[in-house]
Amino acid sequence: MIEVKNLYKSFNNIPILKGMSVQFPENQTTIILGRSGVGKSVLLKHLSGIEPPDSGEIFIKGKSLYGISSEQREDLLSDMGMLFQSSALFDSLTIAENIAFSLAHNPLAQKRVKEEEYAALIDHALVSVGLDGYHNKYPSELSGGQRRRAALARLIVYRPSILLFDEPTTGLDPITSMQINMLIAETQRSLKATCIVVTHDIVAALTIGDYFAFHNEGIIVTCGDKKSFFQDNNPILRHMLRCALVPPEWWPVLQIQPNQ
Amino acid sequence: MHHLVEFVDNLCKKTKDLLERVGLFALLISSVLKLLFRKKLSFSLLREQLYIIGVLSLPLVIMTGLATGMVLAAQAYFQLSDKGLAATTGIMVAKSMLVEIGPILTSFMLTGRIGAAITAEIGSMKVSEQLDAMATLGVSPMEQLVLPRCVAMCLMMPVLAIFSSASGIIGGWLVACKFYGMNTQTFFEPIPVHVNWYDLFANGLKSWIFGLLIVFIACFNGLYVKGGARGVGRATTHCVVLCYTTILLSNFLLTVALNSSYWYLFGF
Repeated sequence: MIEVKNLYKSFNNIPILKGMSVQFPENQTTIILGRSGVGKSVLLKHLSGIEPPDSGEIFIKGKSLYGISSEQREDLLSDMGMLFQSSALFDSLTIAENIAFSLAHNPLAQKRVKEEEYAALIDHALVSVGLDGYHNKYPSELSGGQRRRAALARLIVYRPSILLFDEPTTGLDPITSMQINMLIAETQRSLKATCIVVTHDIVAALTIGDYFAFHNEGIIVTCGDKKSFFQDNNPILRHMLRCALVPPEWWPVLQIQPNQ
Repeated sequence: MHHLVEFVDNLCKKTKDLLERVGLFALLISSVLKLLFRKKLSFSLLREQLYIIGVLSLPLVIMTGLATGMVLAAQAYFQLSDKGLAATTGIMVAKSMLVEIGPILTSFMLTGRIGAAITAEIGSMKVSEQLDAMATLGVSPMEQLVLPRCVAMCLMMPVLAIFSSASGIIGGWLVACKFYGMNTQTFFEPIPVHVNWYDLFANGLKSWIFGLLIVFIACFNGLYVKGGARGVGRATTHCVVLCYTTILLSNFLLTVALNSSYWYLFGF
Protein backbone atom coordinates (compact mmCIF):
# COMPACT_ATOMS: atom_id res chain seq x y z
CA MET A 1 0.00 0.00 0.00
CA ILE A 2 1.17 3.50 -0.83
CA GLU A 3 -0.28 6.32 1.19
CA VAL A 4 0.09 10.05 0.66
CA LYS A 5 -0.78 12.25 3.63
CA ASN A 6 -1.29 16.00 3.49
CA LEU A 7 1.34 16.62 0.80
CA TYR A 8 2.29 20.21 -0.02
CA LYS A 9 4.64 21.42 -2.74
CA SER A 10 5.24 24.84 -4.30
CA PHE A 11 7.51 25.94 -7.13
CA ASN A 12 8.57 29.62 -7.11
CA ASN A 13 5.86 30.33 -4.53
CA ILE A 14 3.18 28.81 -6.77
CA PRO A 15 1.43 26.01 -4.86
CA ILE A 16 1.11 22.82 -6.93
CA LEU A 17 0.15 20.21 -4.34
CA LYS A 18 -2.16 21.64 -1.69
CA GLY A 19 -2.50 19.13 1.10
CA MET A 20 -3.00 16.07 -1.06
CA SER A 21 -4.04 12.85 0.65
CA VAL A 22 -4.70 9.58 -1.16
CA GLN A 23 -4.19 5.84 -0.78
CA PHE A 24 -3.13 3.57 -3.64
CA PRO A 25 -4.28 -0.05 -3.21
CA GLU A 26 -1.68 -2.80 -3.35
CA ASN A 27 -1.29 -5.08 -6.41
CA GLN A 28 -3.76 -3.01 -8.44
CA THR A 29 -3.50 -0.40 -11.15
CA THR A 30 -4.54 3.07 -10.05
CA ILE A 31 -5.26 5.65 -12.70
CA ILE A 32 -4.77 9.32 -11.84
CA LEU A 33 -6.82 11.51 -14.14
CA GLY A 34 -6.67 15.28 -14.23
CA ARG A 35 -6.17 18.31 -16.43
CA SER A 36 -2.73 19.35 -17.65
CA GLY A 37 -0.64 21.36 -15.20
CA VAL A 38 -2.47 20.33 -12.03
CA GLY A 39 0.60 18.51 -10.69
CA LYS A 40 0.02 14.85 -11.57
CA SER A 41 3.61 14.32 -12.73
CA VAL A 42 4.83 16.25 -9.67
CA LEU A 43 2.97 13.73 -7.50
CA LEU A 44 4.72 10.85 -9.30
CA LYS A 45 8.09 12.53 -8.81
CA HIS A 46 7.35 12.74 -5.08
CA LEU A 47 6.38 9.07 -4.98
CA SER A 48 9.59 8.08 -6.78
CA GLY A 49 11.77 10.11 -4.42
CA ILE A 50 13.00 12.53 -7.10
CA GLU A 51 11.28 15.56 -5.61
CA PRO A 52 11.07 16.09 -1.84
CA PRO A 53 7.81 17.63 -0.52
CA ASP A 54 7.60 20.97 1.29
CA SER A 55 5.55 19.17 3.95
CA GLY A 56 3.46 16.04 4.33
CA GLU A 57 4.30 12.37 4.24
CA ILE A 58 4.43 9.46 1.84
CA PHE A 59 4.23 5.95 3.24
CA ILE A 60 5.45 3.06 1.12
CA LYS A 61 5.06 -0.43 2.60
CA GLY A 62 4.39 1.25 5.92
CA LYS A 63 7.62 3.28 5.94
CA SER A 64 7.69 7.04 5.69
CA LEU A 65 9.68 7.83 2.52
CA TYR A 66 11.13 11.07 3.85
CA GLY A 67 11.32 10.06 7.52
CA ILE A 68 13.96 7.34 7.11
CA SER A 69 17.72 7.37 6.51
CA SER A 70 19.01 7.84 2.96
CA GLU A 71 20.22 4.20 2.88
CA GLN A 72 16.77 2.92 3.89
CA ARG A 73 15.16 5.20 1.32
CA GLU A 74 17.53 3.88 -1.34
CA ASP A 75 16.45 0.31 -0.44
CA LEU A 76 12.78 1.24 -0.56
CA LEU A 77 13.08 3.06 -3.89
CA SER A 78 15.11 0.30 -5.51
CA ASP A 79 11.90 -1.79 -5.55
CA MET A 80 10.22 0.90 -7.62
CA GLY A 81 10.43 1.94 -11.26
CA MET A 82 9.10 4.81 -13.30
CA LEU A 83 8.29 5.13 -16.99
CA PHE A 84 8.73 8.73 -18.10
CA GLN A 85 6.62 10.53 -20.67
CA SER A 86 9.78 11.22 -22.70
CA SER A 87 10.96 7.59 -22.18
CA ALA A 88 14.22 9.05 -20.75
CA LEU A 89 16.39 6.35 -22.30
CA PHE A 90 20.12 7.08 -22.00
CA ASP A 91 20.80 8.30 -25.52
CA SER A 92 24.52 7.48 -25.50
CA LEU A 93 23.79 3.81 -24.77
CA THR A 94 22.23 1.15 -26.99
CA ILE A 95 18.89 -0.40 -26.00
CA ALA A 96 20.65 -3.49 -24.57
CA GLU A 97 23.07 -1.26 -22.64
CA ASN A 98 20.14 0.77 -21.30
CA ILE A 99 18.56 -2.40 -19.94
CA ALA A 100 21.90 -3.69 -18.65
CA PHE A 101 22.39 -0.35 -16.88
CA SER A 102 19.37 -0.93 -14.65
CA LEU A 103 20.51 -4.52 -13.94
CA ALA A 104 24.03 -3.39 -13.09
CA HIS A 105 23.11 -0.39 -10.95
CA ASN A 106 19.75 -1.02 -9.31
CA PRO A 107 20.49 -2.27 -5.75
CA LEU A 108 17.60 -4.75 -5.90
CA ALA A 109 18.82 -6.20 -9.21
CA GLN A 110 22.37 -6.41 -7.87
CA LYS A 111 21.09 -8.65 -5.07
CA ARG A 112 18.87 -10.80 -7.30
CA VAL A 113 20.77 -11.11 -10.58
CA LYS A 114 24.26 -12.42 -11.41
CA GLU A 115 26.22 -10.77 -14.21
CA GLU A 116 26.21 -13.92 -16.34
CA GLU A 117 22.39 -13.82 -16.38
CA TYR A 118 22.26 -10.31 -17.91
CA ALA A 119 22.19 -11.40 -21.56
CA ALA A 120 19.29 -13.82 -21.07
CA LEU A 121 17.30 -11.29 -19.04
CA ILE A 122 17.86 -8.55 -21.62
CA ASP A 123 16.71 -10.91 -24.39
CA HIS A 124 13.62 -11.86 -22.38
CA ALA A 125 12.76 -8.22 -21.57
CA LEU A 126 13.07 -7.19 -25.23
CA VAL A 127 10.99 -10.13 -26.44
CA SER A 128 8.26 -9.37 -23.88
CA VAL A 129 7.90 -5.78 -25.15
CA GLY A 130 8.10 -6.85 -28.80
CA LEU A 131 11.54 -5.41 -29.52
CA ASP A 132 13.44 -8.62 -30.21
CA GLY A 133 16.55 -7.86 -32.28
CA TYR A 134 16.74 -4.21 -31.24
CA HIS A 135 19.69 -4.81 -28.88
CA ASN A 136 22.23 -2.66 -30.73
CA LYS A 137 19.94 0.16 -31.80
CA TYR A 138 20.31 3.58 -30.21
CA PRO A 139 17.23 5.38 -28.81
CA SER A 140 17.46 7.97 -31.60
CA GLU A 141 16.93 5.16 -34.14
CA LEU A 142 13.57 4.15 -32.62
CA SER A 143 10.06 5.56 -33.04
CA GLY A 144 8.19 7.10 -30.09
CA GLY A 145 6.25 3.90 -29.40
CA GLN A 146 9.38 1.73 -29.65
CA ARG A 147 11.22 4.06 -27.26
CA ARG A 148 8.36 3.79 -24.77
CA ARG A 149 8.52 -0.03 -25.06
CA ALA A 150 12.31 -0.05 -24.65
CA ALA A 151 11.93 2.10 -21.51
CA LEU A 152 9.35 -0.39 -20.24
CA ALA A 153 11.82 -3.24 -20.87
CA ARG A 154 14.47 -1.34 -18.87
CA LEU A 155 11.92 -1.07 -16.07
CA ILE A 156 10.55 -4.60 -15.90
CA VAL A 157 13.91 -6.34 -16.21
CA TYR A 158 14.63 -5.97 -12.48
CA ARG A 159 11.03 -6.86 -11.53
CA PRO A 160 10.11 -3.99 -9.18
CA SER A 161 6.91 -4.34 -7.14
CA ILE A 162 5.84 -0.70 -7.63
CA LEU A 163 5.60 0.80 -11.11
CA LEU A 164 4.85 4.44 -11.90
CA PHE A 165 3.81 5.51 -15.39
CA ASP A 166 3.81 9.17 -16.43
CA GLU A 167 1.46 9.56 -19.40
CA PRO A 168 2.64 6.35 -21.08
CA THR A 169 0.53 6.78 -24.24
CA THR A 170 0.78 10.54 -24.85
CA GLY A 171 1.75 11.33 -28.43
CA LEU A 172 1.21 7.80 -29.72
CA ASP A 173 -1.28 6.60 -32.34
CA PRO A 174 -4.30 4.59 -31.06
CA ILE A 175 -2.86 1.21 -32.12
CA THR A 176 0.52 1.81 -30.46
CA SER A 177 -1.28 3.26 -27.42
CA MET A 178 -3.31 0.09 -27.09
CA GLN A 179 -0.12 -2.02 -27.40
CA ILE A 180 1.47 0.00 -24.57
CA ASN A 181 -1.71 -0.35 -22.47
CA MET A 182 -1.71 -4.11 -23.00
CA LEU A 183 1.97 -4.26 -22.01
CA ILE A 184 1.27 -2.30 -18.82
CA ALA A 185 -1.65 -4.61 -17.95
CA GLU A 186 0.47 -7.70 -18.70
CA THR A 187 3.38 -6.37 -16.65
CA GLN A 188 1.07 -5.63 -13.71
CA ARG A 189 -0.31 -9.17 -13.86
CA SER A 190 3.03 -10.94 -14.24
CA LEU A 191 4.84 -8.92 -11.54
CA LYS A 192 1.74 -8.61 -9.31
CA ALA A 193 2.87 -5.02 -9.07
CA THR A 194 1.24 -1.93 -7.63
CA CYS A 195 0.91 0.37 -10.64
CA ILE A 196 0.13 4.08 -10.64
CA VAL A 197 -0.62 5.54 -14.06
CA VAL A 198 -0.98 9.25 -14.75
CA THR A 199 -2.88 9.75 -18.00
CA HIS A 200 -5.36 11.84 -19.96
CA ASP A 201 -6.24 8.86 -22.08
CA ILE A 202 -9.71 7.73 -20.95
CA VAL A 203 -9.56 4.64 -23.16
CA ALA A 204 -6.26 3.64 -21.52
CA ALA A 205 -7.75 4.33 -18.11
CA LEU A 206 -10.76 2.11 -18.81
CA THR A 207 -8.56 -0.62 -20.28
CA ILE A 208 -6.02 -1.00 -17.51
CA GLY A 209 -7.42 0.73 -14.42
CA ASP A 210 -8.73 -1.02 -11.29
CA TYR A 211 -8.89 2.04 -9.08
CA PHE A 212 -9.27 5.68 -10.12
CA ALA A 213 -8.40 9.07 -8.65
CA PHE A 214 -9.23 12.52 -10.01
CA HIS A 215 -6.62 15.17 -9.37
CA ASN A 216 -7.70 18.80 -9.50
CA GLU A 217 -6.21 22.00 -8.09
CA GLY A 218 -3.53 20.17 -6.11
CA ILE A 219 -5.75 17.67 -4.33
CA ILE A 220 -7.50 14.38 -5.10
CA VAL A 221 -11.14 15.41 -5.34
CA THR A 222 -12.61 11.96 -5.83
CA CYS A 223 -11.43 8.38 -6.00
CA GLY A 224 -12.88 4.90 -6.12
CA ASP A 225 -13.31 1.76 -8.20
CA LYS A 226 -14.38 1.91 -11.85
CA LYS A 227 -18.14 1.97 -11.22
CA SER A 228 -18.25 4.50 -8.40
CA PHE A 229 -15.61 6.74 -10.01
CA PHE A 230 -17.28 7.06 -13.39
CA GLN A 231 -20.63 7.71 -11.73
CA ASP A 232 -19.24 10.47 -9.53
CA ASN A 233 -20.99 13.81 -9.99
CA ASN A 234 -17.93 16.05 -9.65
CA PRO A 235 -18.63 18.67 -12.36
CA ILE A 236 -15.01 18.99 -13.53
CA LEU A 237 -14.63 15.23 -13.79
CA ARG A 238 -17.89 14.97 -15.72
CA HIS A 239 -16.79 17.78 -18.01
CA MET A 240 -13.42 16.12 -18.63
CA LEU A 241 -15.06 12.78 -19.40
CA ARG A 242 -17.45 14.45 -21.84
CA CYS A 243 -14.60 16.27 -23.57
CA ALA A 244 -12.49 13.12 -23.72
CA LEU A 245 -15.17 10.83 -25.03
CA VAL A 246 -17.27 13.08 -27.28
CA PRO A 247 -15.94 16.10 -29.18
CA PRO A 248 -17.82 19.30 -28.08
CA GLU A 249 -19.07 20.04 -31.61
CA TRP A 250 -21.13 16.87 -31.35
CA TRP A 251 -22.72 17.82 -28.00
CA PRO A 252 -25.73 19.66 -29.56
CA VAL A 253 -26.28 16.77 -31.96
CA LEU A 254 -26.23 14.31 -29.04
CA GLN A 255 -28.23 16.76 -26.85
CA ILE A 256 -25.47 16.93 -24.18
CA GLN A 257 -25.66 20.01 -21.94
CA PRO A 258 -22.25 21.73 -21.43
CA ASN A 259 -22.70 22.04 -17.66
CA GLN A 260 -24.48 18.77 -17.12
CA MET B 1 9.17 56.56 -6.91
CA HIS B 2 7.56 53.65 -8.77
CA HIS B 3 10.80 53.06 -10.75
CA LEU B 4 12.83 53.10 -7.55
CA VAL B 5 10.58 50.47 -5.94
CA GLU B 6 10.81 48.36 -9.08
CA PHE B 7 14.61 48.75 -9.13
CA VAL B 8 14.95 47.75 -5.45
CA ASP B 9 12.55 44.85 -5.99
CA ASN B 10 14.60 43.59 -8.98
CA LEU B 11 17.82 44.03 -7.03
CA CYS B 12 16.43 42.00 -4.12
CA LYS B 13 15.27 39.24 -6.49
CA LYS B 14 18.66 39.13 -8.27
CA THR B 15 20.52 39.04 -4.94
CA LYS B 16 18.26 36.26 -3.69
CA ASP B 17 18.84 34.26 -6.91
CA LEU B 18 22.59 34.79 -6.66
CA LEU B 19 22.69 33.71 -3.00
CA GLU B 20 20.57 30.69 -3.85
CA ARG B 21 23.00 29.71 -6.63
CA VAL B 22 26.00 30.21 -4.35
CA GLY B 23 24.30 27.99 -1.76
CA LEU B 24 23.57 25.30 -4.37
CA PHE B 25 27.17 25.50 -5.61
CA ALA B 26 28.46 25.01 -2.04
CA LEU B 27 26.04 22.10 -1.66
CA LEU B 28 27.43 20.50 -4.83
CA ILE B 29 31.01 20.76 -3.53
CA SER B 30 30.05 19.32 -0.14
CA SER B 31 28.12 16.45 -1.80
CA VAL B 32 31.16 15.55 -3.93
CA LEU B 33 33.45 15.62 -0.86
CA LYS B 34 30.97 13.51 1.11
CA LEU B 35 30.81 10.91 -1.69
CA LEU B 36 34.59 10.91 -1.98
CA PHE B 37 35.06 10.18 1.72
CA ARG B 38 32.36 7.50 1.61
CA LYS B 39 34.48 5.84 -1.11
CA LYS B 40 31.64 5.89 -3.63
CA LEU B 41 33.98 6.33 -6.59
CA SER B 42 33.70 3.71 -9.32
CA PHE B 43 37.13 2.86 -10.74
CA SER B 44 35.81 2.01 -14.22
CA LEU B 45 34.04 5.39 -14.50
CA LEU B 46 37.17 7.18 -13.23
CA ARG B 47 39.36 5.35 -15.77
CA GLU B 48 37.01 6.41 -18.59
CA GLN B 49 37.14 10.06 -17.48
CA LEU B 50 40.93 9.97 -17.01
CA TYR B 51 41.17 8.85 -20.62
CA ILE B 52 38.72 11.48 -21.93
CA ILE B 53 40.08 14.38 -19.88
CA GLY B 54 43.75 13.39 -19.80
CA VAL B 55 44.77 11.31 -22.79
CA LEU B 56 42.42 12.82 -25.38
CA SER B 57 43.29 16.40 -24.32
CA LEU B 58 47.03 15.78 -24.57
CA PRO B 59 47.51 16.55 -28.31
CA LEU B 60 45.58 19.83 -27.98
CA VAL B 61 47.50 20.87 -24.87
CA ILE B 62 50.87 20.01 -26.46
CA MET B 63 50.02 21.82 -29.70
CA THR B 64 48.87 25.02 -27.99
CA GLY B 65 51.80 24.94 -25.55
CA LEU B 66 54.25 24.45 -28.40
CA ALA B 67 52.77 27.29 -30.47
CA THR B 68 52.72 29.69 -27.49
CA GLY B 69 56.32 28.83 -26.55
CA MET B 70 57.38 29.49 -30.15
CA VAL B 71 55.69 32.90 -30.18
CA LEU B 72 57.16 33.78 -26.78
CA ALA B 73 60.67 32.90 -27.95
CA ALA B 74 60.26 34.75 -31.24
CA GLN B 75 59.09 37.92 -29.47
CA ALA B 76 61.66 37.65 -26.68
CA TYR B 77 64.53 37.14 -29.10
CA PHE B 78 63.29 39.94 -31.37
CA GLN B 79 62.73 42.42 -28.52
CA LEU B 80 65.84 41.59 -26.47
CA SER B 81 68.57 40.77 -28.98
CA ASP B 82 69.32 44.41 -29.93
CA LYS B 83 69.70 45.19 -26.20
CA GLY B 84 72.21 42.38 -25.76
CA LEU B 85 69.79 40.31 -23.66
CA ALA B 86 69.08 37.49 -26.15
CA ALA B 87 70.68 34.98 -23.76
CA THR B 88 67.73 35.44 -21.39
CA THR B 89 65.28 34.08 -23.98
CA GLY B 90 65.42 30.54 -22.54
CA ILE B 91 64.81 31.56 -18.96
CA MET B 92 62.03 33.96 -20.02
CA VAL B 93 60.20 31.29 -21.96
CA ALA B 94 60.68 28.62 -19.25
CA LYS B 95 59.69 30.82 -16.33
CA SER B 96 56.60 32.28 -17.99
CA MET B 97 55.47 28.91 -19.37
CA LEU B 98 55.85 27.20 -16.00
CA VAL B 99 54.48 29.85 -13.68
CA GLU B 100 51.78 31.56 -15.74
CA ILE B 101 51.10 30.53 -19.29
CA GLY B 102 51.19 26.72 -18.92
CA PRO B 103 48.41 26.47 -16.29
CA ILE B 104 46.32 29.27 -17.83
CA LEU B 105 46.58 27.92 -21.37
CA THR B 106 45.79 24.37 -20.26
CA SER B 107 42.78 25.50 -18.23
CA PHE B 108 41.46 27.57 -21.16
CA MET B 109 41.83 24.61 -23.50
CA LEU B 110 40.09 22.29 -21.02
CA THR B 111 37.30 24.77 -20.43
CA GLY B 112 36.48 24.59 -24.13
CA ARG B 113 37.11 20.88 -24.62
CA ILE B 114 35.90 19.41 -21.33
CA GLY B 115 33.97 22.05 -19.36
CA ALA B 116 31.57 22.89 -22.18
CA ALA B 117 31.10 19.20 -22.97
CA ILE B 118 30.30 18.37 -19.33
CA THR B 119 27.67 21.14 -19.12
CA ALA B 120 26.12 20.17 -22.46
CA GLU B 121 26.07 16.44 -21.63
CA ILE B 122 24.69 16.72 -18.09
CA GLY B 123 22.37 19.56 -19.15
CA SER B 124 20.82 17.62 -22.01
CA MET B 125 20.42 14.59 -19.75
CA LYS B 126 18.65 16.84 -17.25
CA VAL B 127 16.20 18.36 -19.75
CA SER B 128 15.37 14.97 -21.26
CA GLU B 129 14.66 13.52 -17.76
CA GLN B 130 17.59 11.08 -18.05
CA LEU B 131 18.94 12.23 -14.67
CA ASP B 132 15.52 11.58 -13.10
CA ALA B 133 15.40 8.17 -14.79
CA MET B 134 18.85 7.42 -13.39
CA ALA B 135 17.67 8.36 -9.91
CA THR B 136 14.57 6.14 -10.17
CA LEU B 137 16.80 3.22 -11.18
CA GLY B 138 18.60 3.66 -7.86
CA VAL B 139 21.66 5.39 -9.31
CA SER B 140 22.81 8.74 -7.99
CA PRO B 141 23.73 11.13 -10.86
CA MET B 142 26.27 12.66 -8.47
CA GLU B 143 28.05 9.31 -8.10
CA GLN B 144 27.68 8.33 -11.72
CA LEU B 145 28.40 11.61 -13.51
CA VAL B 146 29.84 14.29 -11.21
CA LEU B 147 32.27 12.48 -8.90
CA PRO B 148 34.35 10.66 -11.56
CA ARG B 149 34.70 13.87 -13.60
CA CYS B 150 35.79 15.89 -10.56
CA VAL B 151 38.43 13.36 -9.48
CA ALA B 152 39.72 12.83 -13.02
CA MET B 153 40.02 16.58 -13.59
CA CYS B 154 41.91 17.05 -10.30
CA LEU B 155 44.35 14.29 -11.23
CA MET B 156 44.90 15.23 -14.88
CA MET B 157 45.07 19.03 -14.81
CA PRO B 158 48.53 19.29 -13.16
CA VAL B 159 49.88 16.60 -15.51
CA LEU B 160 48.50 18.38 -18.57
CA ALA B 161 49.86 21.74 -17.37
CA ILE B 162 53.35 20.21 -17.07
CA PHE B 163 53.04 18.84 -20.62
CA SER B 164 51.89 22.24 -21.86
CA SER B 165 54.77 24.04 -20.12
CA ALA B 166 57.34 21.50 -21.32
CA SER B 167 56.13 21.69 -24.92
CA GLY B 168 56.22 25.51 -24.66
CA ILE B 169 59.87 25.36 -23.62
CA ILE B 170 60.61 22.96 -26.50
CA GLY B 171 58.76 25.30 -28.88
CA GLY B 172 60.83 28.22 -27.58
CA TRP B 173 64.05 26.25 -28.07
CA LEU B 174 63.03 25.33 -31.65
CA VAL B 175 62.51 28.98 -32.60
CA ALA B 176 65.43 30.45 -30.63
CA CYS B 177 68.01 27.82 -31.55
CA LYS B 178 66.88 26.33 -34.85
CA PHE B 179 65.40 29.45 -36.42
CA TYR B 180 67.37 32.35 -34.91
CA GLY B 181 70.57 30.32 -34.45
CA MET B 182 70.93 30.75 -30.69
CA ASN B 183 73.23 28.31 -28.92
CA THR B 184 71.34 25.42 -27.26
CA GLN B 185 73.54 25.57 -24.17
CA THR B 186 72.88 29.33 -23.81
CA PHE B 187 69.15 28.64 -24.05
CA PHE B 188 68.99 25.85 -21.46
CA GLU B 189 71.88 26.60 -19.07
CA PRO B 190 70.22 29.36 -16.99
CA ILE B 191 66.93 27.51 -16.65
CA PRO B 192 67.88 25.22 -13.68
CA VAL B 193 69.50 28.19 -11.94
CA HIS B 194 66.39 30.38 -12.02
CA VAL B 195 63.60 27.82 -12.12
CA ASN B 196 63.19 26.12 -8.75
CA TRP B 197 60.80 23.62 -7.16
CA TYR B 198 58.56 26.49 -6.05
CA ASP B 199 57.79 27.30 -9.70
CA LEU B 200 56.80 23.69 -10.26
CA PHE B 201 54.67 23.85 -7.11
CA ALA B 202 53.01 27.05 -8.41
CA ASN B 203 52.35 25.30 -11.75
CA GLY B 204 50.76 22.31 -10.02
CA LEU B 205 48.73 24.31 -7.52
CA LYS B 206 47.37 26.76 -10.08
CA SER B 207 46.40 24.09 -12.57
CA TRP B 208 44.81 21.99 -9.83
CA ILE B 209 42.67 24.91 -8.63
CA PHE B 210 41.74 25.88 -12.20
CA GLY B 211 40.74 22.26 -12.83
CA LEU B 212 38.49 22.29 -9.78
CA LEU B 213 36.89 25.55 -10.90
CA ILE B 214 36.23 24.20 -14.41
CA VAL B 215 34.72 20.90 -13.33
CA PHE B 216 32.52 22.31 -10.56
CA ILE B 217 31.26 25.22 -12.67
CA ALA B 218 30.59 22.85 -15.59
CA CYS B 219 28.74 20.25 -13.49
CA PHE B 220 26.77 22.94 -11.66
CA ASN B 221 25.62 24.57 -14.90
CA GLY B 222 24.61 21.18 -16.29
CA LEU B 223 22.76 20.00 -13.18
CA TYR B 224 20.77 23.21 -12.73
CA VAL B 225 19.97 23.90 -16.37
CA LYS B 226 16.49 25.25 -17.07
CA GLY B 227 14.55 25.19 -20.32
CA GLY B 228 15.05 22.92 -23.31
CA ALA B 229 17.74 22.97 -25.98
CA ARG B 230 18.08 26.76 -25.67
CA GLY B 231 18.60 26.38 -21.92
CA VAL B 232 21.41 23.88 -22.51
CA GLY B 233 23.05 26.26 -25.01
CA ARG B 234 22.75 29.16 -22.57
CA ALA B 235 24.17 27.06 -19.72
CA THR B 236 27.12 25.98 -21.86
CA THR B 237 27.94 29.57 -22.84
CA HIS B 238 27.54 30.64 -19.22
CA CYS B 239 29.87 27.86 -18.11
CA VAL B 240 32.63 28.89 -20.54
CA VAL B 241 32.35 32.61 -19.71
CA LEU B 242 32.27 31.96 -15.96
CA CYS B 243 35.22 29.56 -16.15
CA TYR B 244 37.38 32.06 -18.08
CA THR B 245 36.48 34.90 -15.70
CA THR B 246 37.05 32.95 -12.50
CA ILE B 247 40.29 31.43 -13.82
CA LEU B 248 41.71 34.87 -14.68
CA LEU B 249 40.62 36.40 -11.36
CA SER B 250 41.82 33.46 -9.28
CA ASN B 251 45.10 33.46 -11.23
CA PHE B 252 45.74 37.03 -10.09
CA LEU B 253 44.92 36.16 -6.47
CA LEU B 254 47.02 33.00 -6.59
CA THR B 255 49.98 34.84 -8.13
CA VAL B 256 49.89 37.47 -5.39
CA ALA B 257 49.50 34.82 -2.68
CA LEU B 258 52.26 32.58 -4.07
CA ASN B 259 54.69 35.50 -4.49
CA SER B 260 53.95 36.76 -0.96
CA SER B 261 54.44 33.32 0.55
CA TYR B 262 57.68 32.90 -1.42
CA TRP B 263 58.97 36.19 -0.03
CA TYR B 264 57.83 35.16 3.45
CA LEU B 265 59.49 31.74 3.24
CA PHE B 266 62.71 32.48 1.34
CA GLY B 267 63.12 36.25 1.27
CA PHE B 268 64.04 38.01 -2.01
